[in-house]
Amino acid sequence: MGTEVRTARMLGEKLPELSLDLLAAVEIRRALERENGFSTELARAFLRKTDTLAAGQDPRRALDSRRTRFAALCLSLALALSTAIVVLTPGDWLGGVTASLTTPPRAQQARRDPITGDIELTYRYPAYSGLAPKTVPGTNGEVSALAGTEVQIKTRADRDVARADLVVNAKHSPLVVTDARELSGSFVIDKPGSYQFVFFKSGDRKIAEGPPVPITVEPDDPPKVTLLSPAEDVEIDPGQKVTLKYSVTDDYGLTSLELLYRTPRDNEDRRIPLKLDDERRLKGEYSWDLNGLKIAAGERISYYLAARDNDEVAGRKLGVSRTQYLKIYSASEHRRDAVRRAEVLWERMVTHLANRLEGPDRAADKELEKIAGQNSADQAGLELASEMLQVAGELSHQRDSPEELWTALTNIAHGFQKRLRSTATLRRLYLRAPTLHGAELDPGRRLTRAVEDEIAETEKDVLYLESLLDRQKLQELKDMAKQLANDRRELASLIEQYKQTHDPKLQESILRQAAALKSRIGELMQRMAELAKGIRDEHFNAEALSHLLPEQDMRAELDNIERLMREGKADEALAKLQEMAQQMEEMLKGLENSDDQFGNAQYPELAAKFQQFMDELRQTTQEQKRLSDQTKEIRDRYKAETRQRLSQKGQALKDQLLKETEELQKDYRGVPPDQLNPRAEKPLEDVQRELENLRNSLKVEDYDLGAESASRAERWASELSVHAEQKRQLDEMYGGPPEGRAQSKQLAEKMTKDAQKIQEINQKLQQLFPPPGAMLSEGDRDKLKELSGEQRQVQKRAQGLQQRMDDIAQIAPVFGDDATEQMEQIGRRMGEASQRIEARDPARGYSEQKAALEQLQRFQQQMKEAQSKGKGGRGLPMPMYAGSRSGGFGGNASREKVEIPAADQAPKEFRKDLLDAMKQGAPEKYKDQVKRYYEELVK
Amino acid sequence: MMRNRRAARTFVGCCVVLFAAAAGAQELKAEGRARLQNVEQAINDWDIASAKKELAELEKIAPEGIEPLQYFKGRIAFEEGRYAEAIDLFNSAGIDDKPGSYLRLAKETQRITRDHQKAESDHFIFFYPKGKEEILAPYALETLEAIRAALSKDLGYAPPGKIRVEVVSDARELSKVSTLTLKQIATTGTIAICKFNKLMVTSPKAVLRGYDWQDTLAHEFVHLVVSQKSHNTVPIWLHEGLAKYLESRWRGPAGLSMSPSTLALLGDRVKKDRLISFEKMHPSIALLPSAEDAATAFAEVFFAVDLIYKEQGTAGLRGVIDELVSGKDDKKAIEGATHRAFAAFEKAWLAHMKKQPFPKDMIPMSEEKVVLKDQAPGRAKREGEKKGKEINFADFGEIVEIPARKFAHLGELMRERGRAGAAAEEFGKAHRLVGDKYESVSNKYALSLLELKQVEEAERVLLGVLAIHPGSPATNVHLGRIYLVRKDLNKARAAFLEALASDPFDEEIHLSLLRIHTAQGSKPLAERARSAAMLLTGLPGEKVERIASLLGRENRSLAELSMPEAEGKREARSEPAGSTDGGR
Repeated sequence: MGTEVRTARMLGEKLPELSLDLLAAVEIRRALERENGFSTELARAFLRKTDTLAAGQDPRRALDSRRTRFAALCLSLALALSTAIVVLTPGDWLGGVTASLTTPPRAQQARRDPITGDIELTYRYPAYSGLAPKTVPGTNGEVSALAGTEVQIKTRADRDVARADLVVNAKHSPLVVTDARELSGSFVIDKPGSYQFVFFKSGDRKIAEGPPVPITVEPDDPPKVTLLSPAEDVEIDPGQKVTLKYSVTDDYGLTSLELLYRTPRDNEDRRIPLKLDDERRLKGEYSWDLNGLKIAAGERISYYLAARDNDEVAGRKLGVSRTQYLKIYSASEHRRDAVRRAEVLWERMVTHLANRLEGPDRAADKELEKIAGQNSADQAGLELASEMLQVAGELSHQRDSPEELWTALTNIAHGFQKRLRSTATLRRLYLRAPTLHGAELDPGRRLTRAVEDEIAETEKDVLYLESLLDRQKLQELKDMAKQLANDRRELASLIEQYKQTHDPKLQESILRQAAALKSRIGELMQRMAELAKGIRDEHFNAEALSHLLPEQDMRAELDNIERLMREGKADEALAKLQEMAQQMEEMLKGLENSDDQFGNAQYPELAAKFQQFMDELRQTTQEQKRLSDQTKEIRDRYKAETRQRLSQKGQALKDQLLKETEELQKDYRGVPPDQLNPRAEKPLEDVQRELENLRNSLKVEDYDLGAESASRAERWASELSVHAEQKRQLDEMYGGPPEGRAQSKQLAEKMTKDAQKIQEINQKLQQLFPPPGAMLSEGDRDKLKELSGEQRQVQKRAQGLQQRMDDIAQIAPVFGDDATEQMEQIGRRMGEASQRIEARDPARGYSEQKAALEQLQRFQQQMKEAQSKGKGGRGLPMPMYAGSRSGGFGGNASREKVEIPAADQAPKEFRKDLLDAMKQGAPEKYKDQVKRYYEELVK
Repeated sequence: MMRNRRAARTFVGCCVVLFAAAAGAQELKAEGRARLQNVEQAINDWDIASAKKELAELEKIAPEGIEPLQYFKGRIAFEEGRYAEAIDLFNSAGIDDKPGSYLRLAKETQRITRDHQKAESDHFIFFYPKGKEEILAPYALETLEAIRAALSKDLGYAPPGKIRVEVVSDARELSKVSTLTLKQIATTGTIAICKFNKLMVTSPKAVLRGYDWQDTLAHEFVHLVVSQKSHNTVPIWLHEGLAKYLESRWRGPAGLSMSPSTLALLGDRVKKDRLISFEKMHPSIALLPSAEDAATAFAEVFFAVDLIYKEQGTAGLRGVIDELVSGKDDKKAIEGATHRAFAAFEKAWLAHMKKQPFPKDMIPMSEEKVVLKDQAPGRAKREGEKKGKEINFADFGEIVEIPARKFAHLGELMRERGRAGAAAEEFGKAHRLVGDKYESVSNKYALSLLELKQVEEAERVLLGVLAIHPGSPATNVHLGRIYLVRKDLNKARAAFLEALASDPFDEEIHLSLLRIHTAQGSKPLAERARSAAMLLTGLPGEKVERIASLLGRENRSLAELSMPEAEGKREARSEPAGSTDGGR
């Protein structure tokens, strides 16, 4: 307050313009804050005026410039000094800044100065740690060690003392004082905290107390146990061994390692001790044999590893791995999953069918907009078809997924896709030209017909797939019923045991099992009833479901059994159990019966037709085998005759022809592509391919195949020479540049020449072979004639089979496109065989016959397999998958050996495939081996 | 029954000896023996009044409390429904409590009927289990009184006193009160019995699709009247012929109960000349080698009665019975009543049969067969299950034409998913293949059409199937819905009452009747329907009335019974859920 007045006075002296006004202004402003008798307005006006006046003054006039300069100089020096210090000791500066910014410890004790010199610490670690004693001289006393470590301390007091104490965590213990200043003592670390020195003069008078020195207890960590393998939960087969790989480490040592596991029937963990090779760290593996455990399919076992360390001080600590699960593989669970997935698709098919039935496509008066709106239905249908194929593919890779389901999905999807595409195409056609009239061309009518066809086929598919799904559910019911029967048997065996021993503990166990069984039966029966409800088969609902009724009876019976056991009446309990067995037997019989009859009621016509087809297929196969055998006999005689001839003549020709072929190859490789018209590209490519085939055939002395390649090469070479000639003529006609004309002329001549060379090679090869029949006896020729006629008859039978397949396909999608194609191919082969035999060529005739027979047998086998996965040929025919099983399908890969046909049996296509494969080349290091292998095969 | 009767005879033989020994006096011996035999004969002749009279005479000469006396007193008490008394009397007569004995029978009957409720009319006492069977009482008594009046006129006889009618809950109970084994009941499809001077009927709730319980009551009552009037002299074949022929008299003229399926079977047999000869029907139709033969024989005797009735009127029927009572055999009795030689009668009978308007095709008999719920759990509606959409695939099991069955199956798949258009198309395909042959196909087809509001077409389909399967409760209910919407209340009432005659526990029937009776101003009938609906739905009266008032509105679905207000009704019920049943 005084400062303001003084300052005003001083400024008034320095600035005469302000004089006493400034002082008066200060006093008036103060007076304004209190209550005064003067006019406040006048006072404020005076203040404003003084402010204005003061604002107009130069402040420099009011200051002493000498003092200001001095102050500025001092400030500059101080700044320069500070900067120098910061640059020279940046760490200290930063530390200081950091310390000033950090919050100081809350309970900071009053700082005391040390009262001893450097401290020497000797650690004697607990025995279990295996650590050697350690002495650390010249420390500030801070202690850090395992709990249980004895710490010996030596130091020197800063003054003479009569007595000294070591206070460890507030507990006093005396130190040994020698020469009034040398101090020594020890303590055992048991917990973290601090210690301090306390000095006493004579008579317990405390003269000094040192600062607290921290004690840190170093942790003894529990063992670290890691399961390396299996890395996650796995599914295993019943009785399968599981290899566990693990690593265990501990900082001071391990005393035990165990595998702990628990099955659904255990109330507590079971233990398996594992070997410890190393006390501190080990990587080990254990082959866990689960064979002895009674684990049902689908049940899970939890397991983990547990290790204990050797901590003798705080007690042995436990380290455990993560808990994992082993699931016992359950075929029925996998089947269930497959059924669920197929059912989802089936449901979508039903929806698609409903959409089509309710859609506008078949209306007599079609509305463009509505018809266009159905594009989405086409699209959704196509998506469904491709999803069906995808699911079928996935299921086919899964073990135990019902083959009939994924096969049916495949067959259905192919047909479905085809029909949908047809509908979509006709829709587009209609939308482009809706008014195009004319009986057959009317796009509207054609769309209607396509949708009607699609509806009819989808109806069949829906019903057939539903039957297969129902059948799967029935299978599941059977599985469950068997499970029930097993449970009952288990209980009966326990009661038998109890009867022998009358062991009260066993009685308890039986009662527990009976209770568990009761609840399982309840669960199973409930699931069965639910499952049964989901089966829509008309006949199943009425007949077989009645066998599922006794659930309540069974539960009541189990109550009775439980009561009888409690009363110790084991015989009566067994008798009741026996009655129950009969009930279960009836239930199972009923289900078996339903399974046997399944589909009979719904598909009697299909079942009959299918049976006829199977019979006809068997007969055709037998007949084909008979014919093939007879042809083979003639072929063998013919072969013996021709072998001699070929080996003599062929060998003489081989080298020469090989040389010529290679030269030709070189010629064709040298043809510049731009010198021929684009249409010549293909023949050029083909001729090169056939020449390569020819070369390979000659190398392996397959003159037969070589002759065919030469024949084809001749055709392509001739075509190529025509193209070359045309080019020449065109160049001449349009007067191209002379160089160009010369080139095309040269090429045309070369192509003609090469074509002639190929023709010659072909002729030479053809001459190697005697004319068909020339080397056959009269009897063989007659027999061949007869066989040719018979072969035609068998071909007709094969065509009849095709017709039967079509008939069956009208009822249900039992056969897919592949099967139909296979049967067509069989027919073609038979026709080819017939022609060859008729032309008195038993070798090729037999080759075709053999191929047809093999295909027939394979077909028959596939049919049998499909039906055996059903139920042995009765009731509902199962769908057949006749695909190649490559490219993702057929995951249940056959474990049969791959049979490589003998050279004389190998059909031409097979040998050609091999030659083609030879052309693909092989990695350098395998080239020789591969070549030898192929040569061996095609010999 | 046979075993029972044989045991009784043995017992009577023993009684006579015992009685003689006890009576002591020689002169009393003969009279006592005669009276004992008379008592037994009177009971066997369904003449309880005479039996009682004889017994009173016997009591005068016999020592008090002797076993034979106690036994017959027990028999009469049992026949008169005094079961507790009968048990005491059989006990004091030293009858063993073993299967087939009268003591066991009385005990079982008493146990089963102990908690029964009763309703009475002028000539009947209707005993029924506590619960929804209460609904049956007024209708049953009306039926019985009606048939009694009709038979009194036709046959000139009406049983004295009040006749007991006992309703049992299921086949198991029926076997206990009737002495038939459960197996016999299951294989023969027995649903009601007239025996021990009373009628015993199984509740319709025990039967899969219900059954024509009102006709059955009437049928059994015809047996009772014929047995009493003829003193049990009418042979079984004629008994069945008369009962079948006259059972429709409670609701109209005689001879209405021949079903088209039986007629079709008979037609087929006539065509193939494979009728069952009169000789082969002896001693019993039940002994014929196949169920189809038995059905043919029953149809034949129906037309034998029909011929007598058509030629002679009711006098002819009375005449046959009278001739039999007079001791003539069946052939002679017919000759006497028809005034011509039996051979001539047979010829006329055959000619009469051939004249019948037989259906062109065979109609499945399966739908006529009484199927107990216990025998077909998969098809049975569960306790407490709502009527809802009535999705059921099992019904198609009887369709023998496979393509039609497949289309029907597809139709049901579509209905299940609420795709009425698609469902109607699929059912339509099935219907085109089998026509009106199957109740299941026609009804499901009609329901789909109703969902699409194609009411005229649905009615046409339903009427078609009703002609082949008359009395079908489902068909009648669906027709009733249509008539109700059209406000054709008389037709609607007739349809629902016809449905009730087979399936009395369908809540929709009573709700609809409540709506109809209220609209027609029939207060007592409306009240009856209201009580029944309350009992079946477990809802209070006001709610029931509200739901009923909504029925038949044009904007409501005709394809199912939707009762939005009935949601949660099960919780609201005061009685246990197990005591009620949809009955369909």
